[in-house]
Amino acid sequence: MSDFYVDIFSYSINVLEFIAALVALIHYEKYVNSSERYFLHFLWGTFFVDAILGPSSRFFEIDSTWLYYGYTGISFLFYYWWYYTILKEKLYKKIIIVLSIIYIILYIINSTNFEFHQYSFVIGTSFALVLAGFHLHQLFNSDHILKIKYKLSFWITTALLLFNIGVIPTILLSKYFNIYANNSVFSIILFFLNIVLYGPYILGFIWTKKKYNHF
Amino acid sequence: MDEKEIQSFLIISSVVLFMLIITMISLFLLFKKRKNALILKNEFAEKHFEQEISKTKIEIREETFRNISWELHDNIGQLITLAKIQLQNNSSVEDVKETLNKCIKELRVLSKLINPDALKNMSLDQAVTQEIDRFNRLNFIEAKLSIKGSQIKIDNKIEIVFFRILQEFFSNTIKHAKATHLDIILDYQTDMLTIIAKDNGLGFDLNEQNHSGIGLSNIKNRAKLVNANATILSEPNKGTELTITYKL
Repeated sequence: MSDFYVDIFSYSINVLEFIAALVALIHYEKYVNSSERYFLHFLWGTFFVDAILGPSSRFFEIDSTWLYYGYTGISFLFYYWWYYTILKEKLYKKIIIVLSIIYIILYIINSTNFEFHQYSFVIGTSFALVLAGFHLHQLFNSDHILKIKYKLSFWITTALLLFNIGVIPTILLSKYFNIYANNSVFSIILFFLNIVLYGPYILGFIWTKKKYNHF
Repeated sequence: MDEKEIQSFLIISSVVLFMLIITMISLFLLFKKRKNALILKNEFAEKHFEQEISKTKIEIREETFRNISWELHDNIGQLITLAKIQLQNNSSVEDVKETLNKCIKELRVLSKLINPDALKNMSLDQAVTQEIDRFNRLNFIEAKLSIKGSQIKIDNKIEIVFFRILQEFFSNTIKHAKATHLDIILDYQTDMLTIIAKDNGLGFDLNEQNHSGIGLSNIKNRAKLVNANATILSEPNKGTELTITYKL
């Protein structure tokens, strides 16, 4: 029973990833001139890792820990790089460089012990939250605020903000309650958080207009 | 799911939900506040712009009145006085007739110049041309206008500001610079309008406090109002040059 739920929810997450990547592909023309265009590759990469590499490693009984750990590291560095390209203030850019270096160091240190892998995730998430805050600050102080629903970067930041704010307590509390991945409780919450993540992405790709995506 | 799992699910999900709702509400409130502030600021800026344009229009009108009064007194008044003297001195009817004809001609030109309907629909080129014709006609200064490129229509409000800047420059040239020549260039490029006005008058030291005062900053502020850039170059005894650049 429990395994069945876990499977359903994990496939549903794959479906969400696929829809987001597909919508991103359909509307690619609208944001091709901004650095958001790399989200297309990123979303397809996510789908590839999560829906194809992950299950096949399970099928061939290969340990997928390193696959996901590697994916986590790359995805956070991708977010940081993206914020680096869209934030204008020099101080913010410097902070991003410092946070990225700290993250890489902690990531390498945490990689030595499987128990610590989730801390890499929590740290990466916290840093991403800080950068999302910077970006919102920049957006809210610009003229873009009048037509913010057409701005793709706003939707991506909103998605990251909501997902990350939800995912930190999930991870910390699930450790406290002794719930690990492949548990139905964890799966349901993770599925819900993925809706929170990919929902704004999909909305953003559909609503965005070309002229609002030049930074 | 057993009871313990359900319990932990409820706790975790309510914490997560609570965090999400708090985030969304604060995002929304912040967004709303900033948006309203920006709208207010834009409205204020627009109002300020309109006020400045009205002020500029009034100044142009005042300057025109001053010119009319000047012209009536110095030009037409002089001609009528001459006719009166000619009559008193029993000059020939032909001479008096000629003077009066000249006087009527000047009067017609002046009346045409200050017709408000004509003024309203005038382009920058026409307005500057008219101003320069006046200078030449009254022998104030030898003025020349050259227009390069094909004329591109720009917003009337922006033309008004440019005209007022030029008018201020001309009036300085005539009143203070003791110049003999005035050259104006309107250069229409594909994406840029450059206006250059140059006199060969006394000029001034840009670093001196007296001169870099109100007049210059006024010109610069006016230009900034319509997103144009105004620079003034001057050296003592080498004349003054004003350059306005405006992105079309």
